[in-house]
Amino acid sequence: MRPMRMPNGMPSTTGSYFDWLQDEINRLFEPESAELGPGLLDRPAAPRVDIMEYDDRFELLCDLPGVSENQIELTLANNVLTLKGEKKPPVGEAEQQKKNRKLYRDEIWYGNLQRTVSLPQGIDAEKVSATCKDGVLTVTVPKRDEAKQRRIDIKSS
Amino acid sequence: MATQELQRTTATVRPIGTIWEEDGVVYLRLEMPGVTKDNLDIHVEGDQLVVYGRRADLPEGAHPLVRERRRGDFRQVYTVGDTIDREKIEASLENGVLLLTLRLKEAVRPRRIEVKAG
Repeated sequence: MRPMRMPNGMPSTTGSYFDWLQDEINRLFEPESAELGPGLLDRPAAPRVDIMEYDDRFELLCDLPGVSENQIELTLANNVLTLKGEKKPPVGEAEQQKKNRKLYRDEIWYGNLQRTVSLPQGIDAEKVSATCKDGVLTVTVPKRDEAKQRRIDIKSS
Repeated sequence: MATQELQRTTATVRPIGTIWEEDGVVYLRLEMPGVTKDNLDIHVEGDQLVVYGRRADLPEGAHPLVRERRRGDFRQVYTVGDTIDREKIEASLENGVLLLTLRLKEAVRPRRIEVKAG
């Protein structure tokens, strides 16, 4: 019998769409891979982010180990920040070389990623900056002066 | 190599990794975003290889609005057998990815014996 193809292109071991669906759903709940698993529709993976608020700025942090600055594209339009990128396998890891390998554990994921975050009002879009260090992307979004918290002195009469 | 003083008693997470063997060398590639060279401790204790990566705490003045990233220091312990040459473990860290290179002892490496025609 010809192996049945699942919607993700993988040959099915059991021949059942329900098993495939079950696997996909189970994978969503695996804490290790949920963030970067191949989605149901093979959409780009959405990396997890942290957003911190400081008195004068917001900071968005995203773990992107093994991704260099030039593989990340950041755009900002109408207060919506879009992060796009591609996580590529390290250079010199061609398929031919992999053939000689005895693989014990393979958890690292490679592929496209995309994440969209709506930023609050009162930010200074012109002054948004980003750095990528030690596998962590940090996007700094300064607040506009009028949005900064100000201390109001109470005068004694 | 750094001492064990980096380690804390807080909850730790296991780094995501890929492990393979190629030509008598075992490679461990571990993803440890946010870990710097100074915050990384790799040591061998008996037959255990301990990898510990400390991550920065919540910076002062930061109010978290969204927290989705995995939190906690990275920790993973591997048992290294007698076939691994413990003196020759190498480590490199780049962009939050640690690559450990463990070499098999010469004695256990597969050797090809040429058969001479008589």
